[in-house]
Amino acid sequence: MTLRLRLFAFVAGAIAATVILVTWTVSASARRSFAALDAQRTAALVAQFRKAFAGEGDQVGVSMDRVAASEPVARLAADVGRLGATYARYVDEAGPLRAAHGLDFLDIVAGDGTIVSSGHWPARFGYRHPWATDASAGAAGGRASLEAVETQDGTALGLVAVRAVRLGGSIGGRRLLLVGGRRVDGAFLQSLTLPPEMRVLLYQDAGSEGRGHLVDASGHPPPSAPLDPLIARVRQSGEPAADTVNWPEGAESFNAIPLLGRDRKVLGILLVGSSGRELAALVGSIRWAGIGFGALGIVFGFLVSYIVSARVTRPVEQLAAAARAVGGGDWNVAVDQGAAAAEIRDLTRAFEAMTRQLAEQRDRLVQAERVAAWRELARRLAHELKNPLFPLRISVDNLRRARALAPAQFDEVFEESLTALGAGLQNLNTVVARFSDFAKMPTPQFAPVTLNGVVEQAIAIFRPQLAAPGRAPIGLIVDLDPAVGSIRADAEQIGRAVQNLLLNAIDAMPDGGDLRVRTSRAEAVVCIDVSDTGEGLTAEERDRLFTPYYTTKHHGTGLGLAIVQSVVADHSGMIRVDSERGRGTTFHIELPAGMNAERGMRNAD
Amino acid sequence: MTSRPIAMKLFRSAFLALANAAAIVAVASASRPHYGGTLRLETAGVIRSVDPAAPPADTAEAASRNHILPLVFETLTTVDSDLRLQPGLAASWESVGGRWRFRIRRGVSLHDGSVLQAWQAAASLRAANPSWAVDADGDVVVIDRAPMDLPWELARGRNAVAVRASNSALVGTGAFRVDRIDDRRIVLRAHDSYWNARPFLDAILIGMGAAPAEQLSSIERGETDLVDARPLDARRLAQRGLRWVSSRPRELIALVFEPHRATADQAVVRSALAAAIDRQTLAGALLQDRAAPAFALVPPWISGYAPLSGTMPAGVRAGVTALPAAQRSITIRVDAGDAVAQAIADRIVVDAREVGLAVAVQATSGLAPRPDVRIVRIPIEPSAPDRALAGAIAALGARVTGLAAADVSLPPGSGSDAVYRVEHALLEHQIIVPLVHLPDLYAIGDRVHAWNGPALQPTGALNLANVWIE
Amino acid sequence: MLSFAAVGTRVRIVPAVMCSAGLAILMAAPHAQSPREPSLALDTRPILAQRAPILDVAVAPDGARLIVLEPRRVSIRRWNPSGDASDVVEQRPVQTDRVWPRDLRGRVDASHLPFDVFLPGVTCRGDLDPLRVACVDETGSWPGLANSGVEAARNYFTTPEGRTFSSAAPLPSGAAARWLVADRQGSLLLFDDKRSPIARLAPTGDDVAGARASCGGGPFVVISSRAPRDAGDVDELRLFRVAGNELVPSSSPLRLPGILTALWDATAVVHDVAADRYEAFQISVSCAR
Repeated sequence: MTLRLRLFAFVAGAIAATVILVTWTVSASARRSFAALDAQRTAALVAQFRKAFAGEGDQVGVSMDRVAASEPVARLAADVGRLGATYARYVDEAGPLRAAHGLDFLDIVAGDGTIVSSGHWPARFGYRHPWATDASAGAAGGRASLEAVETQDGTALGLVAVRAVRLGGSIGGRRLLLVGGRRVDGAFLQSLTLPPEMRVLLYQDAGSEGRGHLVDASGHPPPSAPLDPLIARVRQSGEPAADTVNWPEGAESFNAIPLLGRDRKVLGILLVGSSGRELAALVGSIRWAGIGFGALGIVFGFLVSYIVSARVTRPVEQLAAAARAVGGGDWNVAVDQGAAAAEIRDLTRAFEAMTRQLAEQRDRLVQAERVAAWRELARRLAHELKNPLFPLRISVDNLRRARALAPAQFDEVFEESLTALGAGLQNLNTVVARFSDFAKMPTPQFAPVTLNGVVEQAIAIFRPQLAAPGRAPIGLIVDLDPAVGSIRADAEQIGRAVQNLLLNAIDAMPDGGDLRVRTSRAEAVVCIDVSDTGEGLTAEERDRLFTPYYTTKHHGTGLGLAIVQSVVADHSGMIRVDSERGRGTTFHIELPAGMNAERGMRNAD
Repeated sequence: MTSRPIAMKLFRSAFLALANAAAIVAVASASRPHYGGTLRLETAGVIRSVDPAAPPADTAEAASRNHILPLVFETLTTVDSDLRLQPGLAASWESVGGRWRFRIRRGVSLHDGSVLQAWQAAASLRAANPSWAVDADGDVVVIDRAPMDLPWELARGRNAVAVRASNSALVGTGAFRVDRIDDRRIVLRAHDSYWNARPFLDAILIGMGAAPAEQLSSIERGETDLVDARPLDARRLAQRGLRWVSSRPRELIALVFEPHRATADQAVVRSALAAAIDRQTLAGALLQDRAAPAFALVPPWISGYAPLSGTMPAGVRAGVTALPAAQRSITIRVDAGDAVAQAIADRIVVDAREVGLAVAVQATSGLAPRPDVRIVRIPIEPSAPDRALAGAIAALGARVTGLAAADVSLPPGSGSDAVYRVEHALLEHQIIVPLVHLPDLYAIGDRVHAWNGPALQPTGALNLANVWIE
Repeated sequence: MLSFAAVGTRVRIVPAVMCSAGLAILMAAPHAQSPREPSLALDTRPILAQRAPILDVAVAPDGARLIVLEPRRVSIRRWNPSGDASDVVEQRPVQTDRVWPRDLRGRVDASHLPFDVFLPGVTCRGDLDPLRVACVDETGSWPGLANSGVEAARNYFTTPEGRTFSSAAPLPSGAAARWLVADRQGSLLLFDDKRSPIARLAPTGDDVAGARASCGGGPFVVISSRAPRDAGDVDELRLFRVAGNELVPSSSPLRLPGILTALWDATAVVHDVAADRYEAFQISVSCAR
């Protein structure tokens, strides 16, 4: 891991850890504060409800007083009590009275409990009121109480008051009962002022009719199923309870307060809900702030690390790049360390000094190698020339001595000497021609070349030699990969190089063996492998293999591999040798596939 | 759950008294009647054609035609308050070998001033009854291939005599003639040469298509003199000091179970519902004594017998409780515009709870889910018992009567035994459940008086020729 | 509407008010009363009852028979003033093709023989022993206030001046008012001898007839009107004394058993709709001190 990355990781990590810690602490504190505020608002809302409830009850009482004192009721009481009219005429009486006094429920009940007229369920006349006579004992002027009122649409919650009206002319106390009130429903809940993120639900018990239902001020209550456990608990115990419900849009805490009827039975439940949305939003804000600061911190860390590392690692990287350039052969690379630290500048100066020294040493080495190469060339030339020159000198000496011989002997000696001189001169020509060839290797002419075809042609030249009589047979194994395809190369030079390798391989197996020729393709290069199972090379021989005029053979100029290396270099390729004594030798050539060869050639120029 | 009404005496209606007295309730006709003036009348139905033989488009138009057209077009025979055939335009008649001969009353003038001829009456009857062979022979109308009870048939409004005048308008012989008619109004004028004495009124202005509530408000404001009234309006009429006239019961309100509830396995439900309904309270309290409990299709004053009211069969409640919840739920469909039917249905909801049935009311005027029961209103023709029952059977429809009983054939002229047998068969399985019989009701303004008899006959016929206004 | 009239107390009757307690409030302004005025009462004595409509009943000059006018016939019954009339002993049709109007009015003038029968558009003359009735289509003047008869299709009279009235009762001479006339709308007017209205009276009524009390006083008139609604669909007769241009109630109203269809002098015909019969009564004024 680079210094920059480590520095970046350290700085970012430190900042992130700090931000997380602060975020968590603030969130926890916010939650505690919200819980306390929630409890206060719930208590206030419940108090408001109770007050509104009581106020509504008072209004119901007042309305019922007015109903009892109204002219239609007085007339009804007088007609029935004094004139003996039957109740049948008054089945429609309660409806207009109910509407006129703004009530939701109104029953006119005879003293025996029979409903004379029902304003909210007109068809119910004649049936017995479920509790009017029970409550009537203390009903006169009594307060309104919560009741479950039967309507034609089901059971409804209502604040109901009872008033008694004496029948006209009745001494024995015959009377009418007026049972009326208003609904406690969603409309009632609308009268409450709700703090933000709070709501009030009213659960109305359905009694024996089965499942109750929820109402709220908006008219769109939530599904009751998640609240059922809380509701069941309150119904059973008759005591307040609390619970949290997880809605899809977030959690909400509920406080449930039982609403008791006249006989202390739970008729309804007030559910005060406090949404966690605000808290969640705040916590979310805190979290996002933390994330934001964390991101800023990371960016800061990145900048710091970048700046710091720029002052430290870039000079080092530049130095490393320069070292690589030097390694790649660019001895003239310079490193600008003007902005670097002092230590880095010292390092840079030392590097440059080293580079200069290396360059000088390289020059000296190159010159020494040139001298060595010249010496080697001279030695080789002297060696190569000495052989053909020796018979020439013998032949000249023989001629000189033959001058003293008889003419017939002189002619014989003269002819032999001429022959020897000619052969020697031919040898000299050959040596000179080889040296000339190596000196002026032609510029390769690049063209698309089917590499396998060139290799096959080279193999075809030496195929007869492999099983020539008089020598141990050499097995040929050819593995040409069709994927090699075409490359841009000089077919003749490549062919010459392959031929040189084949010749060397054959020469390395005087006692026979196996000759393998293989081509393959690997990404951007094509490969030619020529392997023999001869004696192999020592390490020294391996190192000097591609030196011109260096040879392990008893014959030859030692230029073959040099020529191969030159051809490979002209094609921007690479040649290496793998060999061990006693295990044979493999020459491995890599050439660029496609256009690379030509490009490499241009670069070399 | 509320208990059965315990103080039934509070709501017991004098339905028998109603049955007897409704025909007698007469508008005050004490003072010397005055000739002249225009009676303003409103009705819910819209009369689209004054041709007596034209079929009505709906029940409201049918009711309006039954009341209004007889003022203009008269029949050869009439049915009196005691359900006896009386001469109308025919002074006498006889039947010989299936051929009927009706002697046309002499001196009856048509509204165009000409005297009614037998051939004109014959042409009118022929047009209304193409299957009859109707001809004229002097001042006699001769009819062949007619029903056995032809005189009763001729008393029906659709067989009133309507003559095409020279201006192509239809003219009649009634106490009033049509002066003009449009979409919303009919103006009738007194027929000065009416053969049965000129009416007191000079004209009758009839507003059509007025909803019941509008009519009531109109008469309260004094803008009309005579309007349709509903039993539910009785209290309001009394409070405002308005008078009302009533015929004898001539309409049946009944429950009719749909085919899927008319099967044998649903008998427990039908029986329970039928027994649970408190007809006395319906008629006496809900309908303010302006109706009579019905235990038969034809009211007793027409059929001549009063069927016994049934009591709750033993074990019905237990039987209902044992049923699955789906079977204990019943949907009753009522016409959304019928306040009386809705009030009855609302009361049935309460009554049905007592036997464990959950009834829901479906008040609709368009497409709606299939109900289990319908409330239907069946007009009962004040006529011979067999004709009244045959008319009710026709009004119920073959689908319903086919569900209820196998054989409901009632040949013309059938006696009371046959009438009872067929009626019993129709009601036996409680697929048809009679509820109440309703009379025709009219609210009458202060300035309206009737002379020498009620403005509304017990049969439901409007006797406006005898009405005078202050 | 409740009404209350104390016998012998002259009061101005105003509509009663029904309050929620069901009491009637009576506002009375008693007039000065003569301590010597006798108490009067209207009496009716049934003469005849039958199902067929009765237009008029008159006692024959011999006092032993009743001449009964019906819409289509004149019939004779034996009659004993102290008992009921017998069944019809003779009858003759009223020969006419006329269609009688609703509320048919008819009158028999049997103050002489031959007797006269008046019907709308028809006048008959009849004789007894044997009974003969001859009718002609003629609209002649009926007895009483000068008139041109009852129009053929109507139920009211028309004076020569063109005024219409339902009924008229003669008043004694010596006063400006000579006739008490009930017009078609039920208003009561006093006419002078020239048949000009001189006063419109407070009470209303549809039929009027003169009456005489045996104990003197008067002039009295009997006026018919509709009974209060809670009494049912019946008429009642009231006795008034004509005092100048006022009518002073002189007796309690006499409730009739049905609807008054005719009031001629001392004869009233009532239609009992419920029983579907017509009854004829003799009206008299009885005195009591």
